[in-house]
Amino acid sequence: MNTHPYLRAYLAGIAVPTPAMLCGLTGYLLLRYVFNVPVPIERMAVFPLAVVPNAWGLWNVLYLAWHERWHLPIGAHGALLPVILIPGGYLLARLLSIDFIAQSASWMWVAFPMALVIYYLAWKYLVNWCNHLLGVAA
Amino acid sequence: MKSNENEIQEMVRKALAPVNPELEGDLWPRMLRRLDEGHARMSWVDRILLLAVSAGIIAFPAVIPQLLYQL
Repeated sequence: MNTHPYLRAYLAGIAVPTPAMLCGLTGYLLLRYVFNVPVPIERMAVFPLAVVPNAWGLWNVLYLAWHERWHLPIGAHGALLPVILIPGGYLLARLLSIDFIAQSASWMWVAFPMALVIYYLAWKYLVNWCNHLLGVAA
Repeated sequence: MKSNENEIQEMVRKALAPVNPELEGDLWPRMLRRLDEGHARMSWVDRILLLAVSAGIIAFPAVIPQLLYQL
């Protein structure tokens, strides 16, 4: 398994958020169509479906590319990702008029440290495990 | 001319590693071993962080949609 290391890094990166995204999406679908909560599911799904898994994959490719030079632990590397994702998600929510996200920006200050910790743990244990399984990095 | 061809063939044969078309036994036990090797024990600091996040989500359920959207 010495070929295509960046492709393997990308696959290891997207392996974690993809099943988690299915769980989140199922929750939203239940809210929308079973409990009739007015959530704009079509517009809302763009960010978690298209952006987040690809961002994880590309972030893991960057981890592999930078690992030799920076020696940043994988947990810390993963914890940096919400610094880009959260403002990006908020901006997209405003552009797509997803009101329940855009109007609850005050909760962002509570959600932000939580996201940092969740990402730190997810990268340290889950992505690291996937990397080990696919023979990516050390 | 013929000896030249034979010489080239011999050189190519020496330069290329022999390819084994057969699998070297069952790959599944090796896969299981690799799955077992990857388990890292969670440190107490990380356990505290996990508990803190869980407590935070229970205390502020309004952040759940934000987290689901962002993560």
